[in-house]
Amino acid sequence: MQSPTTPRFQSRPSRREFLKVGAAVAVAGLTIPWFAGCGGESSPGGEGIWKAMSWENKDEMKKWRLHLGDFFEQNYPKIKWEVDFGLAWEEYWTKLQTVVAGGATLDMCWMHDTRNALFASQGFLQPLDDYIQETTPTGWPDKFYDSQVESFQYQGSQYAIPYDFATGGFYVNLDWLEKAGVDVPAEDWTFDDLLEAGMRLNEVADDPDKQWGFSLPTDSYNSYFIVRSLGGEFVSNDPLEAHFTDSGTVAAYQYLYDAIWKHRLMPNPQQILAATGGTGDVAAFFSSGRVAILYSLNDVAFVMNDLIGDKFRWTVAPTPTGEAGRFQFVGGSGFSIPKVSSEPEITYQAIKYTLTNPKNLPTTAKMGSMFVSRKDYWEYGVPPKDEVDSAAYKHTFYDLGKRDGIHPLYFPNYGRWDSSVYVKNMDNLWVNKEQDAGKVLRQVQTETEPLLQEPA
Amino acid sequence: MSGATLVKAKKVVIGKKGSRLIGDVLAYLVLALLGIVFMLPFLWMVSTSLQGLDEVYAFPPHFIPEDIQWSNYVEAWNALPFDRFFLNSLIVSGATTVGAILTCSMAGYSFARLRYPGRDKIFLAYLATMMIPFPILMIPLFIIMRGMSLVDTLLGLILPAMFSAWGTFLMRQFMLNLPKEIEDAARVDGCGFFGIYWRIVLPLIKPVIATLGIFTFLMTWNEFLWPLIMISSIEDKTLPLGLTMFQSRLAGRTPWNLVMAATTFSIIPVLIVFILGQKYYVRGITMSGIKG
Repeated sequence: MQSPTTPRFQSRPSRREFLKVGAAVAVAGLTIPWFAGCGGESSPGGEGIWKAMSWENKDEMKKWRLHLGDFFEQNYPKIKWEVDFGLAWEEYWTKLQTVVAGGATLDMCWMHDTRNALFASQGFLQPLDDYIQETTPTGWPDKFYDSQVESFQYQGSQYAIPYDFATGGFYVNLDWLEKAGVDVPAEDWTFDDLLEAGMRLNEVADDPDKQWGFSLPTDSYNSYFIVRSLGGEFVSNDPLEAHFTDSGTVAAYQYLYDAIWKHRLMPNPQQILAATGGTGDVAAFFSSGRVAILYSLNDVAFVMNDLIGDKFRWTVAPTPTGEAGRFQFVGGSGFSIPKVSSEPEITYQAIKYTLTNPKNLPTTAKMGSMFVSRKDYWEYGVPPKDEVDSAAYKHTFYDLGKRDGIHPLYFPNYGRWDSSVYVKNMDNLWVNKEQDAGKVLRQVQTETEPLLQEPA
Repeated sequence: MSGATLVKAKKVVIGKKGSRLIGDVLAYLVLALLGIVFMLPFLWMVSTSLQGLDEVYAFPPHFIPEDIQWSNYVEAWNALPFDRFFLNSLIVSGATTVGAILTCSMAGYSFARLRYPGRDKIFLAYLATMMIPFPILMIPLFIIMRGMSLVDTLLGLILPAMFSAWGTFLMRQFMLNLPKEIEDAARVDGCGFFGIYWRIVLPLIKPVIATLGIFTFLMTWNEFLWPLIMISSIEDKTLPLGLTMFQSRLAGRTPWNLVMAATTFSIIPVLIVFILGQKYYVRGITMSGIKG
């Protein structure tokens, strides 16, 4: 029993007292930083921190860091700018959604045409119309590729300024074609001509089980041009409806299935993955000499010589024409202003400076190995003559891309549709689990229809 | 026993020894083969890290590089601030481990020894949080961290990871098996609640502390998604984030030989920790199944 004179601090606290004190400490510990942490990262008036986010890696960022560095040094020297780069593709979109939904400050983000509708429809991006009207970028919009300008519009508003123009074509192993007596593909080839060429190429292959005559894309984005060439469609606007059971769509995917499994002229996606150590890197696939004619995008031409070395000669060539005409995939990326930007005005100026200032466009094209989004700067996006036939490159990618360029309608749920409907069902064709493209596409049609009506 | 019976018994014993030896040899052969199969990805990683980029995609593939390029390691190390990434990973993993040991042991002791209304229900509710997938928690947790101004800080990585339902469960299960008599004796000697925890219980649970420590360190070192969401500044990135910065979505642009070189030197600390603590790692897996 305690004596009344026993100093208080000598008595042991009871369990209840201990718990009360502990709870009070925990609440204080959590609350104080909350109050201390109020306030954003940047303050108005051109000071503080400006943040952007990108999926591009260290080397790809060099050109942007050059332009952004110039912009901030000249106009806002007190602002510390930083770009969170090197984010892997899928994780980039997860992080962008989390950061914007979580209300953290992000002043600029890289945007892709396939995702523009999704983010715009969810209110994650700021429309740029007022900024464009107030200070219109040089040459906007007429001197820019129509397809790229439209790709970043949603319900009539502009949500990004495009920075490049990517388009598809064939990469051709000249030595192999010569051995087989096959001509370099031309734009008036039909898909049957391609099939016949593939058969002749396969006949002279060193290892027909592990080498193929040609490789066409099977993903939704890049295979779309084949669908349109054969008279099909994915999703049309106004009214918004799916066309996966149209005869042209079925014909296109049956053609691809037959090329893989019936004629054995084309690798399936799993074979490409296996041949490239799981990376699926098509440039590496072509450079290893496993395929004579490969479909890929224009920027791949800039790395081919490094990968191929002296193994064989190569060039580029157009993709075929179908019964419904000639179509060619086009796509690209841009810069957007997230709704959580604390400095949208400064960000718009940075975007305008970086992407549309004529002084910067040649540098961007050369350092980025790409066509910038202004049509009249195409020549800066052509590889040097000692790397590839420049005339062939210009014709295959620039001339034909500008003339015949198309891409699927990127409705807001397109990304979700691609992974949960397209890939899930179409993989059955590519692994030979299903042989009837019509049957698979009927399932795709059934599963697509609800997604078209669902909000993103 | 007659001589004939002895000889017969000897033959039986020798026969059993012989078949056991054959069985052992076969078992070792199969395990060695399996070991090689499991080692293959690591060996391939090291092989790729020593090749030139053109050799990486050669067909047929080269397991032994034609021209060994040790310079890939130097180039990979210098390409990005890996010294900073290492330090950040060490700080985050170390601090999280210490914090997790403290919080989980305290919570485990509370659930194992204290009596208060709703104790078991609270414990079940806490355990149930393990079933919530992380992507669902991501945005609310990010908002909390943002409110505490911990976004883009190492503390924002350490704080949420310090509190682990699984670690608490591990501690509780172990503490339930501790003899109560020792604690009673301590109480009689005048030790309070915290004194019993600090002086009596903690020393007795060293094995489970080591187990939780190893697990937490390894899990935190390899953590990717949460640091990806939280960290924007390159100075605060951890190793897994740094490794992805080489990769490009454009064909032919990812220097896989450098990626493999960076990955190889990144796993060395984890390998050392695992080799030293594998006994506790295995114990941790088995202890998770112990019922109270």
